[in-house]
Amino acid sequence: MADKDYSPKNLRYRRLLERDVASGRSLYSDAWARLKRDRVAMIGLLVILIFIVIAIFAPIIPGLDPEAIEPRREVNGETILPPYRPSMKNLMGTDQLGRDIFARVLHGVRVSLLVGMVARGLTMLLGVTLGIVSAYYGGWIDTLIMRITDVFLAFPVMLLAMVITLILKPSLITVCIAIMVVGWPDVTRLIRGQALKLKNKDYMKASRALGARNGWIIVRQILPNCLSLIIVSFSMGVPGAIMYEAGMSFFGYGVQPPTPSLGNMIADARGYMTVCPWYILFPGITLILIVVAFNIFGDGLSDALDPYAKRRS
Amino acid sequence: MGKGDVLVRLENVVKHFPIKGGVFLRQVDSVKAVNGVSFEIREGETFGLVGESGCGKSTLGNVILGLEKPTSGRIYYDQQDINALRGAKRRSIRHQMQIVFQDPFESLNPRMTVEEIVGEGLRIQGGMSKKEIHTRVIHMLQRVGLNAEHALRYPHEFSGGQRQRIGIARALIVQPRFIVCDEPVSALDVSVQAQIINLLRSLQREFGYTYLFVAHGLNVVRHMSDRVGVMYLGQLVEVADADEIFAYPRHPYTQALISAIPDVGMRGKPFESALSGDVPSPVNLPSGCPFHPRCPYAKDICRMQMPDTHMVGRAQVMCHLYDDESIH
Repeated sequence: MADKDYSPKNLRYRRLLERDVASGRSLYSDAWARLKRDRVAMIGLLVILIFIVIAIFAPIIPGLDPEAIEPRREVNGETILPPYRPSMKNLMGTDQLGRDIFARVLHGVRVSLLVGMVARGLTMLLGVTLGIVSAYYGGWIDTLIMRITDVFLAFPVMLLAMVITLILKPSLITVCIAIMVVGWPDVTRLIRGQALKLKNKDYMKASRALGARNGWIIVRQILPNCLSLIIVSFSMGVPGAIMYEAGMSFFGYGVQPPTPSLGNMIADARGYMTVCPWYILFPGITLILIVVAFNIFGDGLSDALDPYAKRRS
Repeated sequence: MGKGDVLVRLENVVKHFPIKGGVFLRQVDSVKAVNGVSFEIREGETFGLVGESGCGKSTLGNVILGLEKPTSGRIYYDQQDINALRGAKRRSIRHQMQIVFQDPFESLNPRMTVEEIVGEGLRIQGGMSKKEIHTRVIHMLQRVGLNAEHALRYPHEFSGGQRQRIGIARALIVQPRFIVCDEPVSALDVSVQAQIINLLRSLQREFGYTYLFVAHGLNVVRHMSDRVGVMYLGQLVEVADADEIFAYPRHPYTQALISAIPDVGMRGKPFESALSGDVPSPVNLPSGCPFHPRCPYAKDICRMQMPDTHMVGRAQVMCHLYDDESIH
């Protein structure tokens, strides 16, 4: 357009202009450009990427067996019993059975990330579908779905999740299912609100006037307009899912030993806190790192995708 | 079917929106947006529909297009009852009837490029290659006064007038015969209004479109329309040729509307017959003639009884003032 070469003298305005207008065209390339400038969010992303790489390559790294026990060890001619302190051989020490905590943490990260992504992904799938259906079709379908969310929101979340894994036998998959069952009502409500707002937009009417069927309108018109909300809700929900998995494993309703998970390691380490503090320390720190990284990345993502909300506050 | 034949005919169309309340969401009342409207639109003409905000004119436009189901009454398009049609037949009629919206900032999907927006109708119809759609979109963009390089941009990069052109291109690409223009210029600057109106008129000359032109200002309607209908509280109170209605407004409401057109010559003078009071709520309609609480000529009968439609000269008027004349 004509005002492309207009450049204000005031530096602040010029920076504002260059920052928000001159960059990419679509919402997503704009958002990516904004996100790249958000240093905190980029650190979060970096940490997440490192953990993802770890999770992928943990089983390939030689010499890292999370389930190998070492009942006794000779040091300087003396026989000592586990738990062993952190050393060059065991970077994070070992637990009471002589299992390498470093190896167990890496495998635990694998479980945590897997559960976080899969469980949150399933939650989003169910939540988004029901939310859009609820808003789009309205009437008794809407009433029914909303009442069901009310019922689910009335349960204490952790208890409900534990009952579900108890019935389905605790395992990685049932933990994901349990997290999905307790998580979908929030997503459904969020998406329903957005879809309700979109439903009455003129471009929906235009689409219908052009002869579009319901499926077309939902997929081509409503879904793309909910996408930024879906992305943010997903990334903000992953740490929650990871925490639930850790919590359930802590209580023994989650991932079952000997498969290492950050949650059941922390639960196990509880009894040895005074004997070997490193046992509870390293899984705990790792869990905090993952959750904080996802949270700050999610925050940055939501700011980047909704620049107006940030400027308003 | 030639020019001058009836293309769209409404028979006693009623649209009430239920108001639900209480614990079990029972219907407690309804908003009576459209209350028994009948008129015809002829092929190739522009029918102007005017009235204050909230009088049901936009709802009527939506009902005609089939975007809302009428509570009762019939709408005939090309002699077919559109609400009786199903499936493929219904969709083929949908393509022949299109809409241009009032607010160009609300009517374009912000996540789609201009090419996607304009080409949507063709993609919905199907049976056309991507390349063909692209060619048609570019051609249509040029026809409405945009450039080919605009195709890859997003709506937020355009001004109000340009957006309205995009909205027009979206409606026209499926080659409709009948277009509802739902206040297409009232959200635009005056200078841009003229451009859009001229565009709509030149398109009509070229392709012979039939317009239903909804507006709340009479100026624009006077410019565009062959015939004009005046709506008040969901009823069509007067229908006449555009020249006729501006020269000899018959209904008291039409008279008030026309005298309320701001005129450069009357600077400083108050509007003589500016209407007093507000439009009554469409939830609780007044008894009798809906206009009687604000009508300067209201008689007893106006409060009791709904007036009939009379032919006065070449105008259809719904008013008790003309009860006697219609006898002749």
